[in-house]
Amino acid sequence: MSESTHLKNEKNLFLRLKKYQDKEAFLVAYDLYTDQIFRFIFFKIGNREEAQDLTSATFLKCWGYVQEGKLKSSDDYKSLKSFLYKIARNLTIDYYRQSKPYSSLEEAEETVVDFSSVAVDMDRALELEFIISKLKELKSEYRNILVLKYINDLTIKEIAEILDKTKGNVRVTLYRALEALKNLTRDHD
Amino acid sequence: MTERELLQQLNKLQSVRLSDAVRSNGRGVLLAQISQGEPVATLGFLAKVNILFSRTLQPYTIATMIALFLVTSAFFSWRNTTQAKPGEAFYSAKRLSERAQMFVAFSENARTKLNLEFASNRAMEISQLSQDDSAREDLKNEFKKEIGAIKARLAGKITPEDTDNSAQDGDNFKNAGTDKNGDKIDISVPKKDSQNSTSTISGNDVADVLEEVKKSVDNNNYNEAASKLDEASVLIDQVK
Repeated sequence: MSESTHLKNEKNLFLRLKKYQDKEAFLVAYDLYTDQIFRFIFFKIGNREEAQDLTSATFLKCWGYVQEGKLKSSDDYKSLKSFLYKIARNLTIDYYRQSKPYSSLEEAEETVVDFSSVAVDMDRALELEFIISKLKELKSEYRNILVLKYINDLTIKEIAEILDKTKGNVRVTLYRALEALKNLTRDHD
Repeated sequence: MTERELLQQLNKLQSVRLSDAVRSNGRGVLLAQISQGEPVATLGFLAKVNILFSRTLQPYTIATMIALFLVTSAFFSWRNTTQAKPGEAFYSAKRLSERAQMFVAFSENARTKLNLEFASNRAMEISQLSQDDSAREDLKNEFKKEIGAIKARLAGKITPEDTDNSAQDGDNFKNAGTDKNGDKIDISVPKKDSQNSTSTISGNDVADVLEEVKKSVDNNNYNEAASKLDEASVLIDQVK
């Protein structure tokens, strides 16, 4: 196994960070997961600039936890990927709370997100405009799970870890989310 | 829009990503934060080995390795024990295992078969030793002991009928009265084949084969002795 392949292996990366606080492994993790985390945050909050900032904040916070030995001391974190997603999720919750301090988290999450900035560097913006507009109409819970499964290609097990749900629960929500999206897109040719 | 088209559209959203400039900038900021001015060092060899072992030495891997080790060692020990020659480390274990087998054999037939098997083992061992090996004589004695034991066990199976049959070995004679001179007339009556063919094998037949085995060993013809022992084993199964 070559060094780069070895490094890109999720379990190796996680162990290197957990045991040795390996900076090199952390930079590899950034290269591997930064787009995923960005997409996750972006489809949650719908603002490109804010999503970029929160993505950077996610990795910085993760490094802070690595240095504090939080990864080492806890068995709750099964993988680096789910650890990063959890941090990103908490940061978006904090973001909602700061931007809408007097509304509940659910209300803040259901605020209609503006995906217009998505077209900035997308070649197929027009082609995807329709599906993006329909994603906007979905409730936040459904949108999140569709992004994790069908855009970021996570497994059911990984999604369950990130969202603190059971695998069965994730499957049911995923099914409902897909049905809801199908209903929204039914009349489209 | 079908479900498939829908999923394809969702999949295409993977093209939503950070621009190269933003990504590079973010990486630079991160590097500055984590390195604090120092170059990022590569992990040492020992640490890499440690990680490799941490990943591979999971409980189930260790359990599988132990199970494999036990099975392999058991197999090789058994192989060494059964094929051990006199003077080798496993030979005493082989003899001990023979005694144990004899101890747990309950039927007389099973014990006789074991005696035969052990006699065959001794014959093979003698054939593997050189002519001037002092152990040869001991093994020959052991071999004769086994043959003696088989004969003794068979003695219990040899009935007087066996002896009569072997002595007469012909037709039965019946009294048919007297002739005009008053002499007794016997007529021969063909012997009734009331028993099946296997019953014609008697303990004496086995004893004869064993005698031939003994002769073969005395003549140092061990392969012949082994094949005769096989023959005796087949005959023993047929003796009632």
